[in-house]
Amino acid sequence: MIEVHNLTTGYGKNTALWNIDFSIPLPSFIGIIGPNGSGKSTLLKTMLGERKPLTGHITLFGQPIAQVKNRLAYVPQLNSVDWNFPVQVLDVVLMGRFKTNSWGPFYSKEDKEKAKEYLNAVGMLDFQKRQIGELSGGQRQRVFLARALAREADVLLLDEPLAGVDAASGERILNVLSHYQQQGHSIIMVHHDLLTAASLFDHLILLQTRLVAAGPSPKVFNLENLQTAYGTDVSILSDLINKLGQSPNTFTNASSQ
Amino acid sequence: MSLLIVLTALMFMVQAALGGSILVLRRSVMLTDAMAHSVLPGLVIGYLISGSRSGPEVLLFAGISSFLAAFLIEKLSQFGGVWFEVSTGFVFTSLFAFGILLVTALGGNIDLDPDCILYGELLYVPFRYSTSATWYDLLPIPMWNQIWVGLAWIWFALSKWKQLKCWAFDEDFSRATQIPVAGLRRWTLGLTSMTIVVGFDAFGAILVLGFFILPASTAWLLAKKWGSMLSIAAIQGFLSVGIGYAMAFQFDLEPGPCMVCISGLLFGIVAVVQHIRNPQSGFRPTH
Repeated sequence: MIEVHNLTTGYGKNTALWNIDFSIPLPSFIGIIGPNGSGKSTLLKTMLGERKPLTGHITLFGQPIAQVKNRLAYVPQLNSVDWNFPVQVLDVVLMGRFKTNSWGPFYSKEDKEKAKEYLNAVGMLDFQKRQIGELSGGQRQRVFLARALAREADVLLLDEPLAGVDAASGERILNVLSHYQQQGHSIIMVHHDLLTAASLFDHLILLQTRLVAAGPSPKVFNLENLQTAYGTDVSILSDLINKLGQSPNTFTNASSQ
Repeated sequence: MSLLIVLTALMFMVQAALGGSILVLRRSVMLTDAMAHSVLPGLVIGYLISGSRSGPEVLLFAGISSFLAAFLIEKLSQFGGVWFEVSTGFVFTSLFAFGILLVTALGGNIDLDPDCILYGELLYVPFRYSTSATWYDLLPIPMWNQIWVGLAWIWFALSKWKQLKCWAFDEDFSRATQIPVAGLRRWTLGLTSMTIVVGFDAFGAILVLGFFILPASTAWLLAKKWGSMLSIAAIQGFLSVGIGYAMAFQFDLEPGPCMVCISGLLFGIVAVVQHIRNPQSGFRPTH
């Protein structure tokens, strides 16, 4: 269970999220959606323990976040790093194998095998010796996903992993995430694409600097909630809901529209 | 004598290669400039307490002063809401000006020449021995200083290798992975302070900056791996020391500036060659 109680948080003096309250059972595939500036990434970073709440708190598996950080793995946004950094693909994935008590420059044979296993899972094993900056956006995101998987954590938190990613990489990422969830793990993911949100996630958190709705996707993803969050013209949202009602919306279908 | 000068410079290069590489990759290498200038007030206070220009008190206070500058710059930009460049300019110029005021106010009572601090005195290194009548007298004091700080850097880089690489590449992921980012930053800046302190003694505050930036930047143009970046930076530094000293000896010039000029020349040659090989991608051929 992830429980968020009366959470207000932000960056320094700037409050980005107000009075958030919800609880969602785990394991789940949870999507955080909302318009730009609605506080999606802020909520994710607070769940990670990177932002301290101004008020309220978050518990995961019944414990404060600080005590379960080793059960979390994080996939940051692609623009958060310098891609000219002198590091090869396998070394990036090995970063996921870091243990707080590890010492010295070398990783164990087991760590290297695990890293290759997860690189293979995202279809990037053949690129293991490449410098990270030589990869395309989609390939970089797959490497970041492999690094997070290499943590072998219970909960995977991703910040817009499909943004700027080609369709093939996007499909691969979703397949890997689906497999990960089937193994009993949880995924919490910031997502911006409304076309795919309802079908992708079993639970949704809809934000607009405050909580609009949180819970099972069918209950959250309705015209009234979307209108409250996005403030968009009713007809556009009606069209969207109708479109989603008419066709099974896989990622591939949605991205080709 | 020449051997002692070259060895001192080589040991300094190991430190500058490690520290410079981390700071170049963290995009905060100009912090060393601010830190180098900020040693002055600590130097004067240390001198006033110990009465000596090379005693441990001087190194300690100069190190504290330099570290304090880095700390203030970071905190001002973090919590004060001012740009990093503004807080850098504010802190180091204030500390440097305060140091000059201290030196000039004390006038003839202090044998501390700001020129020596800015430009160093590498040629005097072989003449500054301890008189403790112990094994410590075997090498000049500046060499011992380089050895201790160099060993501290090597210990830090080897023991924290994985954390440093992860932090330098991706700070957000490092925090989420429970890598002690604040501790790594403090250690890096603390050791950088010590390198600057033992370095300005020989090279002066201005040239120290060149040794932090140029070898690491050359390595950045060539390296595809973290380990090779550190190695290339060290090799570039060693070449600069060797060729620079030979040049100084041949033409009767100051060795420190010759070494920095060679280091800059090596950077320029690598940059031009890389650009000719990959005209589309600037100086670094990755995209």
